[in-house]
Formats: sequence, C-alpha cells, structure tokens
Amino acid sequence: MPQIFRHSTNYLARTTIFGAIFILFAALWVTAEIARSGWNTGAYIERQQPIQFSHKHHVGDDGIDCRYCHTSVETSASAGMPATAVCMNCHKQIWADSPYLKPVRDSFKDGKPLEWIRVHDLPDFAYFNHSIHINKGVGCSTCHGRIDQMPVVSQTQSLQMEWCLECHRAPENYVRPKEKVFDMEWRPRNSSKAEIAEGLDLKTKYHIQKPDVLTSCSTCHR
Amino acid sequence: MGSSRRFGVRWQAQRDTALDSVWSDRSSADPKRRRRFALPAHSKLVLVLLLLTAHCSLLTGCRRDMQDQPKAIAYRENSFYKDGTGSRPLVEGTVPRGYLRQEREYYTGKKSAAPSATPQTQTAATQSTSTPLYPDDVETIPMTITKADLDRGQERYNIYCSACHGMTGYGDGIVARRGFNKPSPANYHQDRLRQAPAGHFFDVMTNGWGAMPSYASQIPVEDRWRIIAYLRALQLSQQGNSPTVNDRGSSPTVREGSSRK
Repeated sequence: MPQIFRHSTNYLARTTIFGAIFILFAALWVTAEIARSGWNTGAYIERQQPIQFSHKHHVGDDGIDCRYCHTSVETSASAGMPATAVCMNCHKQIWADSPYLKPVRDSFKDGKPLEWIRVHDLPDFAYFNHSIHINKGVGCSTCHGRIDQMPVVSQTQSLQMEWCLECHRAPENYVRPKEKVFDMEWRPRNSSKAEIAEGLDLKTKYHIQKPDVLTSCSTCHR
Repeated sequence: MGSSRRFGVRWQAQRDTALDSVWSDRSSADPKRRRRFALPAHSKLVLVLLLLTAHCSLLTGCRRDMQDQPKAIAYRENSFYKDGTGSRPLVEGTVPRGYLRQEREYYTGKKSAAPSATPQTQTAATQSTSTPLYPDDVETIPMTITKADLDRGQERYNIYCSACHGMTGYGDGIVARRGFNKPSPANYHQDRLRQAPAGHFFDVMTNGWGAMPSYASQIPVEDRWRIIAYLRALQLSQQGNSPTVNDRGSSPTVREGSSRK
C-alpha cells in the first residue's frame, strides 16, 4: 500500500505544533491587549459634555488653578464639581449672552443641576480618595494627563488595577514635591539613580507607606 | 531534505511512544480504566477552551453589576429625589458638629458688640480715618498669623482671587482683562481699601460685594483670614516706602491694559 502522506507532510505537522503554541500565546496576548486598550478602558475616548467646556481654555489659556473649581480636591475623596454658581462667578459678565452657556444660565436660574458625563469612572468596588494622593505628592497630571491641553477631556490612563499598582508598588517613581502637584508641566523622572533617590527622599518626607501596605487588598477594596 | 526526513522520523518515533504510553493498557481487561486514561487529554482541552472563553467574556461586561452599584456616591444622579441629585444640600438650619460658630468675630468678621450700623455706600471713599468706613467690621485678624499662614494665604489668593484681582492686587486679573469690568474688580492699592479694616475683606469674601459673588463655598473661614493677611502684605509691598517689604511681596507682574484706580 502506498503511503498516503509524503515525508514533506511532516512540515505541516511541525508547523501545526509550533503554530498551535504560537496561536495560543498570540490569542492570550491579543486578549490582554484588547483588555488594556482604550476600546475596553475608555482611554482616549473623548466624552461630549452638555456644555462645550474647554479645560484647555480655562486652565491652559487663562491659567485658572484646578482648585478654583475642584475645591475639595485637597480635603475630600471627591475632587468636587463646581456648582453652577461657580461658573457664574465669571460668566455672569463674560460670555453672558452666549448660546453655548444657556444651559448654565438656565441651571443657575431654576436650580436644576447640570448633568456632566463622568470621564474617569472608577468601579464602585474600588475606593479612591483624591485628598490623600494630593497630600502625598501625587500630581493631577500623573493620572489625568495634560488637562491644560484638552479641549475635551478624555482619560489618558487605563484606570485598571495593574495601573494603580504600578505606582503603589513603587511610588518613588511617581511622587513629586508637593508644590508641583498642580503643575501640569511636571514630568515623571526617567529613573536615573539621582532621580530615584529624590523620589525615595520624598517618600520618606511625606510618610508614604511601604508597598506591602499600599498593595494590601483592603487599601483600595474596603 | 535529509534533516527534515530525520526530523520526521524522530517525530514519528516520539508519536509512537506517546501513543504507546496512552494506549499501553489497551490490553487491560477493565474498559473503564482505559477511558480514564483517555479522558484527561480531552478534558484538558475543554478546560483550556473554557478558560479562554472566560477570559474573553471578561471584556464584554459581565462585571457591570459590581462596577456600577446602585449606591449613592458623590455627584451621582439619584432619581429618588425630585431634583435628581444624589448629593443632598443641608437642611436649612442644620448645624453640623463643630460648626456652631459662636465666635462672632472669627466667623463673621464683625465686632462682637455691634454698634448700630451707619449707612454707607460701596463707592464712598473717605480720606480721613476719623470716621471709620466700616464701623461694624473687626479691625485686625482675629487669629495669629505665622509665616506658614501667610504662605498659605498667598497660595489661596493666587488660586481664588488672582483670576480677577490680579497677582499683585491691581484688579487686573485675566478675567478682568477678558471683560469682567462692569465694574472692574477692586484694586487693593487704593486708600479706601488700604484703610479698610480686616473684617471688611472677610465680609466681602463671605457675602460678596458689588459684582463679586460670595466665595464662602470655596474658601474656608481660616483661609479667608490668611488671605487677608497676604492682602495686607500685598498692600504694604506696593507702598514703596515700607521698611517691611521683602522680596516676596515686591515682585510685581507686568500689568497689561488695565487702568489703575
């Protein structure tokens, strides 16, 4: 009986074996990348808001401090969304007749709150507190990116647990001096020895907990 | 070709031994035993496939229930209330613990024993100090001001006040330059405000003044007094002949396009 398969068919078998391994890992890798991508995390997806509010204009062009509107960022879990009255501090005279600001004026008149679309939406099972991060030297731009360059705000980080842990495991790579916390231009150190030493100094100075405390489950899931 | 042939042969041999190990008990009398041997390879495959499927379904939103729990968090809308807000304002007349605020001078900037207020106008500028312009307001800051307080005052001033009043207090902040000028924000370096008691500034920050709204919701009481301390430093810095001016206070920014009153 003649052989059905020629010897060269072994190529096929070999390719299949290696191919299976490759395909398996490739599938896992693709799955992981999709899970980390903006499609899944919402990063870099611009959210259209009820009002065309531009952080680029208010922060970048006008130089208004973050805390003017996000008043409670240093003292409470939520950074604080400004009441309509805070918008009206300036806009009762500036752009007072603009049709873009009609929802703001209406809200001011009838007391009905503006409905913003949440951009950075952490899962409800994760506890997050702005004030502790601000007071330990984690800057706005570390998590929120260059807000002063965003006409429409989008998330720049994945907000996934692995991303949180990146800093909780080694805060010295990300902490900055407190006076730079609201500085949009501050860049994370590029991990030369001296810069890591500076980070470690800050870590001691601000009494930042050890990684085993920072990465304990109940630190964020409480 | 030779090598591939060798490989093929080797592979063939390996496959044979593998099959032999699986089917080695083919001769076994118990058919169940044979099945037990055969099944693991199959179920492992199923397991792997299941794991892969589970991994994929992670992406598609079976986590949503825990992700968005039906609980009240800051600023989340809540259909239970008529106005739709989950964050509730305090019921009128509520006094939270620690907010009794009995010290009238500290919390209102008004003198404890208030004399009957004399009528006054906002714009009246009195040159003489004999008749006080704001008789109800406390003259000095009712708390001790340290260097740290002054620094904090400067920081808060730059956040909340400088947008309109300018970094040096000439009433020429970015908002004023962009058109908030009916009337223009006050210039601190005028006689009326140089002579105004500390309590006046507190009153303005707390209750608003003219076109300026109340900043009570944005600036806590303690910070209002610290800002006033910094305001005083700003005023001193622009009087030129003051011996107390140091380099911190006397570094004016360039004023653009605004009239100094």
